[in-house]
Amino acid sequence: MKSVKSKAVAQKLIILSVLVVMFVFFAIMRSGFASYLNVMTIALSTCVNGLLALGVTFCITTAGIDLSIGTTMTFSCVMSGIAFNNWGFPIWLAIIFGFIVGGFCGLTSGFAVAKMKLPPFIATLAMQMVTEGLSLVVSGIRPVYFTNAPGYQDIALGGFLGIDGFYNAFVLFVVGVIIAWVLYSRTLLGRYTKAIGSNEEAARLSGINTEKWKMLVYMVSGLFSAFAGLIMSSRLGSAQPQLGAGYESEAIAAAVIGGTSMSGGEGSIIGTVIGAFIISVLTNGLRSMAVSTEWQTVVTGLVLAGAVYFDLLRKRGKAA
Amino acid sequence: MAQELIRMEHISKSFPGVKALSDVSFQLNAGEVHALVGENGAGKSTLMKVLTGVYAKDEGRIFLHGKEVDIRGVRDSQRLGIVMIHQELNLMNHLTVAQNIFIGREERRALFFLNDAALNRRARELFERLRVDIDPTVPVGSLTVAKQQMVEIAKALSYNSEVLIMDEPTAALTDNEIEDLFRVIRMLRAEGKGIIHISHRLEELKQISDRITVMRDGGYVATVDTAQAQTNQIISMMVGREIFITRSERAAPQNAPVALEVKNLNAGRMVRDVSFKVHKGEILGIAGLVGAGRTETARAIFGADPLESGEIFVHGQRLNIRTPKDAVRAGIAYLSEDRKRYGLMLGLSVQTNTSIAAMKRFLRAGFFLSDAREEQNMRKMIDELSIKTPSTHQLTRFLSGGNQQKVVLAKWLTRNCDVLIFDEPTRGIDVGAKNEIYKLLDRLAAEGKAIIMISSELPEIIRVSNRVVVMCEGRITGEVKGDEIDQTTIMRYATMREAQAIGGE
Amino acid sequence: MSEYKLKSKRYGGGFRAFFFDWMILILFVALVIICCVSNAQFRTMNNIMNVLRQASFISIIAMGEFFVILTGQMDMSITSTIGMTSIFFAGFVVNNGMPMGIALVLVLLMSAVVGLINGVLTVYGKMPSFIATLVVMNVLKGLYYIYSRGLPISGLPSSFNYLGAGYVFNIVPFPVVMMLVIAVILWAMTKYTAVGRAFYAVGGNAEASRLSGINTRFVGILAFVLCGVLSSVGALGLTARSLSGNVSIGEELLFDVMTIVVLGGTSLTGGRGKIFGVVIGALFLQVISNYMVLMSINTYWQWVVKGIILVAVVLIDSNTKKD
Repeated sequence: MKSVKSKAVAQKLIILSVLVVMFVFFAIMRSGFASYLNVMTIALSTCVNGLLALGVTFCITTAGIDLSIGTTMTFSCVMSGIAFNNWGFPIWLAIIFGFIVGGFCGLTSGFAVAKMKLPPFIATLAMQMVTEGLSLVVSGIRPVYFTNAPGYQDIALGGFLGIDGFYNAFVLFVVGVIIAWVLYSRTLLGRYTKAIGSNEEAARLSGINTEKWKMLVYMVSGLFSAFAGLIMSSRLGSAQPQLGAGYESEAIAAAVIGGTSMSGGEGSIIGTVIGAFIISVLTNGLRSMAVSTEWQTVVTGLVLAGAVYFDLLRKRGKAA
Repeated sequence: MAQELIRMEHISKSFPGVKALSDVSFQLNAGEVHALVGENGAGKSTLMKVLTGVYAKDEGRIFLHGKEVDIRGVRDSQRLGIVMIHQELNLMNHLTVAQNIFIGREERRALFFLNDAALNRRARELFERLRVDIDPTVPVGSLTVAKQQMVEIAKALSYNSEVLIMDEPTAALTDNEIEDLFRVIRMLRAEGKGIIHISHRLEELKQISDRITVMRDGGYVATVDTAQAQTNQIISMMVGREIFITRSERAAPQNAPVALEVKNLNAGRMVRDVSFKVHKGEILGIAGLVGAGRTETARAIFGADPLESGEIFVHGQRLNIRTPKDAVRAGIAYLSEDRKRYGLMLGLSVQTNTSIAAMKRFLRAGFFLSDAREEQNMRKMIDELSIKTPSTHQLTRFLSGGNQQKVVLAKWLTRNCDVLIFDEPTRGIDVGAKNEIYKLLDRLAAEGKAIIMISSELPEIIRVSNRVVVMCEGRITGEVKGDEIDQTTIMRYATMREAQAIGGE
Repeated sequence: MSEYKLKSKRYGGGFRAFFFDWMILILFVALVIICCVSNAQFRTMNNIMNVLRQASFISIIAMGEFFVILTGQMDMSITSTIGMTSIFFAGFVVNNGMPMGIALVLVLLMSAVVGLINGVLTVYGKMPSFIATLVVMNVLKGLYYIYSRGLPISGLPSSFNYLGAGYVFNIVPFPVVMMLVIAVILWAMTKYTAVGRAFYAVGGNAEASRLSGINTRFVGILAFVLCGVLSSVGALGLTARSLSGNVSIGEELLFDVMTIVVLGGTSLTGGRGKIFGVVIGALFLQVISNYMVLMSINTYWQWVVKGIILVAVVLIDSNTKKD
């Protein structure tokens, strides 16, 4: 019986060692790769994708999916910028407003999935279209600048405790990870997320209001998207309405590589974080070896394929 | 005198068209294991569902500790300490044992944070009480079925329940696991719990139960003390007095060639070394209790599930059937007990469903489907089988159960299959339509088809079969022919395991 | 024998099902009438032909997706199949000097192989089709970006333009004729061939189909192959319009295609749908886009509108199924 728990640990160790091996490989191949500056760059690029992946981990665990995370991220920071620039919100309120927008988008998807019984794939695809369109309409296809908010860029790019290169964004990411981990492993939300993904009918028969919890799960995903949007816009100093679509693939990949099962019921926040780092290291490393972005897409695609395949093998192994 | 836990008086329950329970009474004492037995469909499960509030009773009263109680839902019965453990376990495989036991009732710290340590501790206490070795922190999916059942029992106890209902708890267990389960049951009995044990296995009931209540056809037959009951006596109470059944007048065919023969089939736990033959123009009944492996045998022959070993001969030729396609090509048809899932495309028209297995027949110039030919065939089938449908384009969903069954049959007749395997052909069909199906079976046999009929309803088997093989736990335990076919003989074979065990009595 | 008379009523499923099956047509006619009455620019011959032409290639692509959805699966990789076709066709002709006919056959074969891979992953690999095709989409996208370095390949012979912009009898755009021909062939296949019927059977109840002796694996894979090839045909038309191979040509199309297929009355759970429903769905969407352009409404509102249409249609569909 003990072997089961150690298996879960072993699985995390395996992906962690994949990460380490990849890192060492690139460090040997390229001398600048392991430099402090580059490591910080990798970490910074992990923040946005990592936060998105954390949110989508909840959805995938319920055997659902959220395809709208990338565009919700964009929409919430565009709206935050509009509130700040055009409506005269103070910056702190504008940021909160961004979170409200993200949470509301997620809640709407959740409503469509839980109450209206739409397939998650369709409901969130529609949400993707709506948020992408709205971002472009509202912004007039122009970046929304935060130049009038002094210090907005410091939210992500300021040095933490004055340490140079150690960006605030990491600290915020770590906060996000801790929140996600607590929610996932230490609260009813996480427990019921897994229960629903494992056997929705049994969960319902155990007296759990599955509809309510599913809606909350999508709302969590929307809130994490808004969080990612905050980091993203702070990094760039503006909200870019064209960005967003396509981010969901990498986030889903991070979650699946991290051991979240597409068929629901199991997943791991730490695994998702490692998965996000694997993707960043891979992208950064390939780029440092002058591999074109196109090949990077292929490699990322194959890594995702591999992760999905291992997930299937694991499932079949259990069935047998 | 033992203290009374539950008394159910004069319970009646009807479903549209069926009287499921009529005037049934049942009584359970504290510190007792009370077995509930009866044929399939005798009303055992319905009675228990009334007790747990899944169904509302039409008439009758329920008393707990002598006080009348009103049970309107599962929550009510849980609150009163009555818990049922279903045959299909209701667990979430990915959650740990402790998380499953306390799902919906998690302990929390500061209203927000789960206290898994407390759950684990409480689960561990429960298992210590039951003296079973299960680690509360492992996922339920990694446990054996027997241990999962223990988790369900622990879950039931965690509600402080006094009454535990177990539906066929031993069906999927090995002998050692059964021993362990019985040990736990005896312990709970010693603690003063009342246990209702639903089972087909009379041998087990002899070991574990204190009293046995027999039900038949939705009615109460008798309650006996296990110590004084004879196995034969219980069997005859289950089947009742020999009711007069009009046997089919169609005689068994003389010297007809063998249409299908299977030798030493093995497939999983439910098909063990099965051999039988069926002749042209003959109806072979396969009898047995639920879980005897009859459906599994049919699916293995049909190529729907993989065969481990064994040989299949069709019209004397040995065939290698690996997929349903191979079976259909050999002229074997399988009419599943679950028509809606395995037999029909409910959203498509009656005509499409009828022609789907034989599309080649309706091709013009070898390529183009001829709607006219399809329709012609459909009309022929509608006439021959008296299918009631407003049009050939009616969606199959809107037909009655009996007519849906006929559409499945029409599909196979269109394909010219001559070995037909019917799995519970009259399930969910009303009485009038049943008779029609029997006549149809007779006629098909008279036309020279070889028919295998799997049925849990003994009168049905007796009525149409020329010969009956009886299965129990994946094996064929007996074969009866012609005038020897009667309910008691079949039931004896169907419970063969205990007949051997108590053979000395 | 049967005392029960057969009524001549051909339609099964009652009035509601009848209404839903034809609802899209009724709505479409209503939409066209409203647009014609309210906008003078809309009702010009020129504009209507324009709408038809723009709807034609996307509807060919949607017909491919239709087969996959009909069997109860999903193909996300069409956007990449379209990009791949566009880039490789232009590349073969412009860079390698291949005759157009051979290049055409080659890219169609390549798309068939993509469909085959999707099908094998789904049917034999037992992966959820949504994931399998998402993976194929990403890998494929990388491959044609590598081939083209992300740049457009222009310089296709102008004769190829006929495919996208030509006219038959100087009045009907060639793409429209092509769409209709393909639609008729596919319609005949769904209605009058055994394999066409098998798509419906597998989508209606895969297990019952298998137990009826249908080769469900073959049918499942064939749906993906058809989807690949038809996406490729549509992509060639789109390429012909600009006379250049373009990586981003298919990028936004998945939404539109999904919306069209669902709008055309195809059930997302499989087993129900009509080819001509898909054609009308495509026209419907194109009329809305066109009208919004004529009313000079921001193009990006279209996405919002399409998203809402998609949800609304799926919702109505799942409600009608409940009975």
